[in-house]
Amino acid sequence: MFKKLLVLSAAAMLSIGSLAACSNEEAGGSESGEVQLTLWHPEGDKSVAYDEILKEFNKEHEGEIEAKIEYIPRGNKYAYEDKISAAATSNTLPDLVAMDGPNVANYADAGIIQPIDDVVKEKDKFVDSAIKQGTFNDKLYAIGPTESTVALFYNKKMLADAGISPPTKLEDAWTWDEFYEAAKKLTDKEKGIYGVNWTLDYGEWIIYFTGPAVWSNGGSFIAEDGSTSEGYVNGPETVEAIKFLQKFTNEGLVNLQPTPTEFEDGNAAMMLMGSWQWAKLQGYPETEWGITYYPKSPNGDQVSPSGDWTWGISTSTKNKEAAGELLNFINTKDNVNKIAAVESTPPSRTDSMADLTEWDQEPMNVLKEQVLNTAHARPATTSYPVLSTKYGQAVQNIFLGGDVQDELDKVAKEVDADIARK
Amino acid sequence: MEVKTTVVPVSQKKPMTYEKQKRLLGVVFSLPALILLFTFLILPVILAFVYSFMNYNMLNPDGKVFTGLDNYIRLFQDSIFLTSLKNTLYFTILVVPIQCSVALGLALLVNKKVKVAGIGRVFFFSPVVTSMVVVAILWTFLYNVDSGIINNALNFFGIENQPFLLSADQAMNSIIFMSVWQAAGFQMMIFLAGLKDVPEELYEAAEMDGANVWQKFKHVTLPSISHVTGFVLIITTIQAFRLFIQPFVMTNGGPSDSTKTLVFMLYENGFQFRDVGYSSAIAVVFFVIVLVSSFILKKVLKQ
Repeated sequence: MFKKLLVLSAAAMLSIGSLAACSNEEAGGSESGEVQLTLWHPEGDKSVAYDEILKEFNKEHEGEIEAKIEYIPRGNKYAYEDKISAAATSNTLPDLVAMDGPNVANYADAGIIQPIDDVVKEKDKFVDSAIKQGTFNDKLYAIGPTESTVALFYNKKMLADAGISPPTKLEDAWTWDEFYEAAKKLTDKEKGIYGVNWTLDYGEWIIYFTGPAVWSNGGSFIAEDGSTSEGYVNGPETVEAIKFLQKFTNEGLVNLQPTPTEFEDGNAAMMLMGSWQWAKLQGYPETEWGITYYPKSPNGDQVSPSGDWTWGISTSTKNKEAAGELLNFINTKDNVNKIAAVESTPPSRTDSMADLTEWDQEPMNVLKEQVLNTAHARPATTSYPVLSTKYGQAVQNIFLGGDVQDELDKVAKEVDADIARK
Repeated sequence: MEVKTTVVPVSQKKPMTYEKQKRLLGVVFSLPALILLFTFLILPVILAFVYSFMNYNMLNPDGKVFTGLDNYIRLFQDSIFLTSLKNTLYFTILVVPIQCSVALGLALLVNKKVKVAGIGRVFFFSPVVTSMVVVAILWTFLYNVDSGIINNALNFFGIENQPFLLSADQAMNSIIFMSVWQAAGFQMMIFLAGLKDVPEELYEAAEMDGANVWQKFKHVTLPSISHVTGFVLIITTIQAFRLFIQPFVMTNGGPSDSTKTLVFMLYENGFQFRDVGYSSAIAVVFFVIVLVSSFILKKVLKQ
């Protein structure tokens, strides 16, 4: 009967564990007059670049500042965000904290990150979507070196065999119908080959990758002022967009339980994936890969999602000045180039874009064009965690055959209830 | 000399009695455990109880305010809570009898004095020592609708592919099946210990009276291990109520909330939505439910 207490105490231990893990680092520094900075970033391929950048920074500021970065696992859920929440309650956040774009509003509103308008240099060098994503209540709270986008990757041979030539110009981007026809043609149920692969995780991915379909159709997730989601997340344009995507799962053009490398193994002809997929595909040089634009609604323009991991300064830092210096150092042109290169994520600085010439060549130009021309940020609302989670669960249900309107109505109800409580 | 004078009053002090000493020693020895127990068990429970009457955003601990019974009123109007409660009870009611009987069956099976029994014991116990997260990920692959081994086996017998985790009707049952497989080995071990304690003479006497296998089981084995059975039933029930990892890893509570449990809901509201007040209210209600069921179970078992 006391087992339930175990659950609670486990939760308590989790937060106390993270407290113990970082408090000793935070307290240090005064001895030698050296300022200690800590950074949190999710685990991933970018760590190669960050390790190098921090080494350089520490060398440049020897005896003055020492920065240390911690990489935290993210999983296919919200593990990283959970860790930030736990640290916020115990006031043990690092000086610089990396966060996914849509969380900026939530963190800024809760007061765990601070405005950095007076800190960031060269603000005008960043693409609009990156600035917009880091802004809450007209103040800049976060800035990051990279942007992101979702495009349609494809297996060149499979498409050529089916006589399909995907668009190579932004203005020719496939409409939904063209995309659907291609997927249908490419699906071969006998051989177990699917037209498209799109990953279904239990985290942020769903709202991120389905967003463009919604926006392209003139829909949205929440009112511009964040006051309600009723009529937005369940509005007719959004419902229509999701119904279009549901067609793929209903007709078996998408595998609902794919293997992690279904596309790479040639068991799916196309893949809706983030820009980082291009770096992964380089590990499969025996196949020729192509990229084309995210398909557009017949009722609107081509839209692509945006927003990548971005840096903010926590309110608990004791060294805002040093933290600001490091923030600017991470976002210099040279360092942005380095970070962008490791994962083939588009840089968020326009001058870095110009530097990285491979982004002008086919097929990577597709990613660049999307970032510069059609990027759309995810909604900035303090109720984002509820929106992202509930919307993700609803879309999962829809892909399994649930009723689109019913499921999205439920999301609107939950999100609005959360807004009302704030 | 001076030293002596200071020593004198001390030596005049009454020596501690043996009883007193023993009590003091007991307190000293249990102090570390008590401190830990208080910090990690009692304090969190008290805090959870207090927080359950508050509107408390995890990211903004300074902004918490008392809201009376608001969280509880919201909870009992929340359709997801009722679904989670229903799912948790469904899981518990099915898993407890199935798992305990499977465990008893396995225990009887490996309670033979032959060499194979030892191998069987290792075989049935090995899933228990494997982390539930790992087991859950593996079973996600086994349950795959297209390429899962279970569907391949079903195909072999002419049964068409089953959606398992993708179907609101089958997901919970699929989780029950794998949970029994994973955990039955543990209860088997406890039963086994009980079975070893049953005196051989009882069986011999029963045989003399002409009892068959079933009669021996019913009139000798079961009554002799009744105290073990009671213990196993209670711990299995409590474990079943706490169902979290399997839906968290395998289905994320879906499809259509069909595998959402109370602990899952507690986690989702507390960590993901950062609503500490509401999730504390769930925790308090959950605590009461587990407490009451264990109490009832104990009463029933005593009779």
